[in-house]
Amino acid sequence: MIDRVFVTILLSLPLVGAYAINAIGIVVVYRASKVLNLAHGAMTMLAAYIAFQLVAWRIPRPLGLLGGVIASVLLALLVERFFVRRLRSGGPTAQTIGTVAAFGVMVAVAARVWSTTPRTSVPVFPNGTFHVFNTVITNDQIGLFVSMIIITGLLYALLQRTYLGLVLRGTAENRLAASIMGADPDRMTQLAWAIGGALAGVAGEMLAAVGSLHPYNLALAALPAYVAALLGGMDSLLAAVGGAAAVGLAEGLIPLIGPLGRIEGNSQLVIAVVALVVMARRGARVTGVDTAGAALETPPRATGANRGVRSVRVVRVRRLIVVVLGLALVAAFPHLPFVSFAMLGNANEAAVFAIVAVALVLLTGWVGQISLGHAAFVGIGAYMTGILSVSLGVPFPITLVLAALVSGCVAAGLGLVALRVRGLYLAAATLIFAWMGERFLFTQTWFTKDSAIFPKPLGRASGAFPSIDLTQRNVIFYVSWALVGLAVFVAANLRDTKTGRAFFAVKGSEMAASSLGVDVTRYKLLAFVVSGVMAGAAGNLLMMQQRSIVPDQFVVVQSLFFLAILVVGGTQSLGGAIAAALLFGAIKFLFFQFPALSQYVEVVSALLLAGVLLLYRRGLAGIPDSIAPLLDRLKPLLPAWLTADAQPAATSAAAEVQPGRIGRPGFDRSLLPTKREERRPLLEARDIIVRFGGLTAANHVSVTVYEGEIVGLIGPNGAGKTTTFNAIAGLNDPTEGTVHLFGADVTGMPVHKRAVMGVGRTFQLIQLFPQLTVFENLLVATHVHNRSGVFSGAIAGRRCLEAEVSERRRVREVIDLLALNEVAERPVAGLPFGVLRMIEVGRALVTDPKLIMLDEPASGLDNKETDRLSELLFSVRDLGVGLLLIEHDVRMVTGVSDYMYVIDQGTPLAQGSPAEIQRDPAVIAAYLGEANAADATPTKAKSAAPSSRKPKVRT
Amino acid sequence: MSSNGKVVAPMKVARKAVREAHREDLLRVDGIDAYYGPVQALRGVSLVIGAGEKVALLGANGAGKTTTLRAISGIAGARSGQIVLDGTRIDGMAPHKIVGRGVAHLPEGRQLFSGLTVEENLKFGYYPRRRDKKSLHVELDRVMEYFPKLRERRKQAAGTLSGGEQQMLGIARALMSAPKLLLVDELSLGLAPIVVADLFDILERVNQTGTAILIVEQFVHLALQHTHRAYVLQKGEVVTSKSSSELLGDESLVESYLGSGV
Repeated sequence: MIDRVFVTILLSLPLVGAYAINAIGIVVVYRASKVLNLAHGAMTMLAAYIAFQLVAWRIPRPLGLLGGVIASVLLALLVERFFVRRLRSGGPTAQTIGTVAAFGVMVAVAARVWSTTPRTSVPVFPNGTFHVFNTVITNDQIGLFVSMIIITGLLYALLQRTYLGLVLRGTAENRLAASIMGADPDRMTQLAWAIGGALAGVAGEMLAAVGSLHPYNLALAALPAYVAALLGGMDSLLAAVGGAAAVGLAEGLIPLIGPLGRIEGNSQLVIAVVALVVMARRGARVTGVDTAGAALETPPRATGANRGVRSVRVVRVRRLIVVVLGLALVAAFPHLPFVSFAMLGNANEAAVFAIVAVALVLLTGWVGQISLGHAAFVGIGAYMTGILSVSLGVPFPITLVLAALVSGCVAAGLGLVALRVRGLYLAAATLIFAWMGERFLFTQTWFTKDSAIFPKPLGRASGAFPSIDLTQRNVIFYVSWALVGLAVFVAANLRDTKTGRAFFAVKGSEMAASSLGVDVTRYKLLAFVVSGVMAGAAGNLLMMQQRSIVPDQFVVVQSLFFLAILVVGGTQSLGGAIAAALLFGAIKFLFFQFPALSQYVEVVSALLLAGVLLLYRRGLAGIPDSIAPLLDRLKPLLPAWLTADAQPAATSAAAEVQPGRIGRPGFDRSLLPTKREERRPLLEARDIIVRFGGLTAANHVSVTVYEGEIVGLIGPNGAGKTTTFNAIAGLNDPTEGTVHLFGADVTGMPVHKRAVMGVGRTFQLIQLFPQLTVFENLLVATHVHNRSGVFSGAIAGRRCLEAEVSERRRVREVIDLLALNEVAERPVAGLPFGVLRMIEVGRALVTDPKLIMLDEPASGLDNKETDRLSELLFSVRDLGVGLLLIEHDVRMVTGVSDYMYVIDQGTPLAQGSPAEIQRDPAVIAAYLGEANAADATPTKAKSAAPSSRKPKVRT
Repeated sequence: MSSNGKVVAPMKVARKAVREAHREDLLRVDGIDAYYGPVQALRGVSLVIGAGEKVALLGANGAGKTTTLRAISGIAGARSGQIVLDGTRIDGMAPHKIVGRGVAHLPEGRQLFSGLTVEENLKFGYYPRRRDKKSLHVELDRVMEYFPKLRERRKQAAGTLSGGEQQMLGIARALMSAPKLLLVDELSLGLAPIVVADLFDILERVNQTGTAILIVEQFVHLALQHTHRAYVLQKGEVVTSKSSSELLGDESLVESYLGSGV
């Protein structure tokens, strides 16, 4: 046994070496660019092939090997330049998709040039073997491990001991600081990528030498290296090597453990589960803005469905036309003269693509959760269909439902991990999930045995209900496209109602979404489940169509292909997704018609993805916009009612408004008790203390807002205003102290529940949803009042539509109040800043709050805009809504507030009327410096005694 | 100029500085507009700094002080107007090129390399002069003269320093490039008054070696006591430009911070 363990460890070492070199490369690149370079594996593979090719051309072996590494370095620089730097504005997720595109192009080109036949590569070290415990070990195997140790040592020395290394480390940590110290961050990043490329090249050549050359297998051999790098924390070289040792040894040793050891893929399962758990646990401290796919977006045209109360009917008519045309086309398609049997097969496959694309639009395009693992969900649906039909004898329509549900449940599981991680880590988590599916789930005999070949045709033959013959390709065609129609119907209904707006809100800003009463956790999970259900249904269809499936159909590469469909379609548009699915279906059909072309299918698909990313990021969905000017010329030819909703429906809708829906009906400020303390308190924060580590950021701060007043909270920079404000708003819990809202203790209550109670918010950095119009932005805020459920939304039920009409009317009212009719139908991106502030106040108003909290509402406004905002705040107050604002612009606050609190260094300094505050010497001293602080004495304005100001500043 | 090290009456220094500034402008900022996202942060800001001068840039929060510094050092692009350093236009240049021309920026929030040691941070600051390998250690010694504490902690990671020490390291690192002009943003932020006073004394000494300094500071009186001249910004525009001593007694200053009664 000991011998076996020892030999296993020895044989695992080359693998450990390869994983470690790759993991180091991934970490070096990640530190410099904050991007998970998914093209890394493709670089390892190409380096090996190029070295192989050079040697085949009779170039001396050392030069050939060097050439491979140089090629890999150049490739890394190209990937960085075109797929990473160029997509920087889109954030890490867009950049990750960029590296996926690069991966696709490289692998497809390699498969085309060198074919997918495995080849024997060039040895890196001179031939030779060792014998240990009756086991033969080659020089290349030992060399791989030894090289890893040498490379790690050299790189460590470069980074830790040289000036260049110092600059590289510094730049990776803080690009801004590096640039103001004189180092060009872009060049340092290139250098890091060059190192990453060189490591990929070395690893690839050595790995090929101990194994074989194969375009896919070699490229995907880097997958465990990502797991290793993630286990190591993506930060340190030595930790990455440790991660690689853990992964490599686990792969070797886990199969030795008892009877469980015989389960195929068990080590991958263990590694993947460990990695997901580690990431989910670590996720809590991962911060950063999730800008999933932001670069892939431009403000789309306003979706017709949201254009006010009256136009709902017009939209329905339009949609009806699309549906009727679509139905006619689908019905006629199998009977068209030019449609061959083969073409029908591709059309069926396109239906599968379309459903998966819709699933991805929903999850990635609308909710911003990237998935690199959708092929696994499709696979689960497909294999479940096999098990259900063959082993359990369940007939077709029921297998569809069950397979979709199982897939949805698994997606919910992944969603639970996704709740803890963001952006890049989410991409990594889904990738690991996909890898686990590929290596474990789809290799299990119990899971796959029923699906190798469908034993007998289902449908009529097995007594399926309804009795249609599902062996006929055209019957399947109708079933498939009916399902596409259903998926689009559900997705479109969700998009245009409460659920879809909540999705967009979660993607746009989780903070703003929860301030509007959206339960972010719930909607993220919902998106995963719906998306998983759709992918599972697609898997069911695939099984029904092909009647035999192989695990290769659900590997990681297939997930990346689905991602390509999504991106080519434009990521957000259902129409774009369908169009992209059809396009890829058509490409497959055309290319297989001409044998000479068939080898180029993958190259063309990959280039299409790369081209869309680099040249036309709006994808197919953007084309109608681009040719809109041409269509506008045709407009006079169309019937008037079709184009009617182009004008805002404002004027007519305004007439239907009943007064008094916003604010408290019959509220009259003059009837309130004159003494502040005798009024009803809306918000009472008592003795709030907030500590971060050893630092006390807020110390015994108390703030009360009574009905009918505007309260200002001010303090110099760093005084703890924002900390106090966040503690009161529920963004972070106070260490001590309580918050009462409308008489109830709400300390520790999540933000979205406070929103339901009647608290609105605006943000310092405006948190509107840029891809939505002004009207839609306000419509999101109706969330708390809209009681219709997800299911009602999915089928556009009566309850949901009634709610829509009533909520739209309410939004119209606020738009009228704010005089925003002019811009109501425009996307908020591109509107003047002053208008955006007004919209944010308006959005808070739509939730019908009793209290609005405003975080620095005047920041970024010029004097005129500030005055307009002040007037708006007065009119909101007169509607019966209390206001609490924190503000830098003291002039503005003193102008609007009825009562003010001043804090300095986290401690209460003064409170009183604005006039009292302005005269207070302690306040003047706090704002202008310590110079006349000595003269500062407490005034009548209830100043806290100076002695209570405990300095809590670090020195 | 006060590079002779003698203590001179502030008024006299101010007048002399104004006179000299016109003779040899180190930096001329001419009518720049700058945006922060969709927000216009600067509206036609102009200012001049003479060689060896000490100038304060004042104004309420959000007035555009930090953006002005960021525009000068190239972090925030100016959309219109010019910035001229020593007769060369530097607007539109990348920040790392501007440092090489002698402008060091001590930014808000310090922006240290917190995972690097104190000494490594300082060495990074030497980047613009890295080809001159011989003087690196001379320069390290010179800079640590100002801050003996940093010498004690040279092997410690910057992130583990106290707030005051971090600010010292920020200044020291900026000095490693031997700048002609040092931009200082909110030196006092989060620091106890006594530490701030020490740091201002050090800036005074740095200035006496001929380095011009532009200070953004919320403690107005402190800033005015340590500078020759001052500009006051309001909503992105320069509203006042006076000698510091004149501005010290000026009532309108309080108004520009706290507003003019209701």
